[in-house]
This record gives sequence, C-alpha cells and structure tokens, in this order.
Amino acid sequence: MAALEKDDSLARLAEDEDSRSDHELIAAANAGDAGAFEGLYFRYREWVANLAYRFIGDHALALDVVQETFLYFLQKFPGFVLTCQLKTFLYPAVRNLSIAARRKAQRAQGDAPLPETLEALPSTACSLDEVDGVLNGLSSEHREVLLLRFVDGLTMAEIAEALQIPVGTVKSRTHTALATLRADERTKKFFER
Amino acid sequence: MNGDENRDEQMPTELVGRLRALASKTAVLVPRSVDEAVLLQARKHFSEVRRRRARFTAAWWTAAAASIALMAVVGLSLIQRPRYERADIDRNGRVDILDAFALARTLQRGAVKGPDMNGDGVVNRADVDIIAAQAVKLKKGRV
Repeated sequence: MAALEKDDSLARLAEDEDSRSDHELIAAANAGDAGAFEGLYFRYREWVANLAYRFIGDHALALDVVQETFLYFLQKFPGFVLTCQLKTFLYPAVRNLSIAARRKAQRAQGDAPLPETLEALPSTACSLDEVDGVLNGLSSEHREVLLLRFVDGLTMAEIAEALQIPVGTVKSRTHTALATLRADERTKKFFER
Repeated sequence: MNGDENRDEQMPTELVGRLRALASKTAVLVPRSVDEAVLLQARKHFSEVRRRRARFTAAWWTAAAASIALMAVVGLSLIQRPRYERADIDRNGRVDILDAFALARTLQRGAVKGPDMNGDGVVNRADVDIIAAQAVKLKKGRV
C-alpha cells in the first residue's frame, strides 16, 4: 500500500511539470527547497539518460550515469550559480561519468578498452537507417556536435562551453558534418528539397 | 575556416526530424527505482542543508541578541552617568559659591585648569566671577 502511494506521488511529481524556470528552481533549491531540485530532475532526467546512452550504448549503465550525474549536481547546492543553460552545465558531467562508467564496465568484462568517443547510435531497422548510416560514418567529434546542435537544440556558444572548445571549432565541425550529409547520396535529397 | 563556416548553419527540417526520431528510437526510460534513489538522496541532502542553516541562523540570532544587549548596557550606563554643569567644579550637583571658591583656589595654586566660562580662551579671575554671579543669581520669579 505504502509502495503504491509512493509510486503515485512520484508519478504526480513527474507529471506535474514545474512551471518555474531553471533559474527560479535553482534559486529555490539554493534556499533549501527539495521540491525545486525534484523539478529540475524530472525536467532533465530523460535528456541525461539519453545523452549517457549515446556515450555508452548500454541502458543499465546509462541509468547509473543518471544517478551519478544528479548526485553530483545535488552536491552543488546550496550555492549553485547557473551561468549558462543547465544542459551546458550537465553535459561535461554526463560525458565524464559515461566514459568512467564505460571504462569500469570494460575492466569488469576484461575487454580491450574502447576509445573515449561518442558511441555510434544503435542501428534501427526502419527507414531511418539511411540517416543512421551516414551519421555513424561521421567521426565522433562531428557526430557529437551535430547531435548537440540539432537534437538537443544547443546553440553554438553553448556547445562550445559544454565541450570546452572554441566556438570556431564548433562551427567548423558543424560545417564539416553538414557538408558530409550534403554530399552523401543517402542524405543529399534532404538538402535538395 | 572559410566564410561559410562562420554562419550558424541550419539543417533541413526534415532531416532534423529524422535525427530526432532516430534519437528517440533509442530513448532510455528512467524507471521509478532510479527516481526514488535520486530523490531520496535529494531529500536527505536538503534536510541536512536546512538543519545546518537553522543552526547557523540560531547562532546568528544569538550573537545579534548578545550584541544588542551589550549595546543596551553600554548605552544605559552612558545615559545614567550624572551630567554636571561646567561651573559645578566640585561635582555636587549644584552651582554655588563653593564652586567659585574652588576655582579661585585652583587659580591661586597657579593651575589654569577649569571651565572657561566666558569663552575668552583663558581660565582666570573673570571665570571665577561668572561662577560666583551664577551662584548668587536668584531663579526667575523667586524673591
């Protein structure tokens, strides 16, 4: 019964999207409001999970990264100052924790270590395969920038901050990635419409 | 880098849609167990933060109250300190002929310490006379 009630309350929390902005939630969390942190958690947990999965390619490990990321974020309170988008702040943490999780898993399995790069998106057996194929043909740096820009909706400046690289490099990588998509037979058609 | 790279390049909307669809195909759903684990830690953390803050606030208020009390004590002692007129040389609470004598005796000893009653910059016989005059002056309305 108690478990059911707990489940219900969690479901309500998740469904009742907090209408306050990230900055307002952070200010409230800094003042000791646990509910404000919960609001941020429910707002970003899926994004963190999917980002971690992009790096690791394993659901269970991605969920571990979700926990570790939010526990890391939690320790920033009180006194956390958001100077950029929260995604930009969380991105390096997710990335580093994902790499660490992947290394740990590899050590446990005794496999040869994988390079510290973005995992290729898992193939899907549908019409998306053509896009998937082109995307997986890109280098991890180019794919990373492209996904952050067009899937996560970050600006060039935010990507630069998240990846800790110059904006010029982000623009250059985006340009190269788009040029590859434009030139590839499988995705060329999208640019011609 | 050429000029093209300086623009914030856009991807065709349809392709963006495909990319997003691709990403959502592999979407990770966060189970309740993960929510519970994170939120439990968050509640513990924030309750500790509130406890620490309450302790700090209590200490702050105690210090503030102590400071106010100290200031009150100092202020009261200043207020209650008896105030004497300048001419009340012997500090007995009234200006009388004894004060004029006291100043005269001081001047006779060669000291120039005392109230400069006429404000001429020196303490001398004239100041003794003023105190004496003040001592014998009748209050208004009295005979």
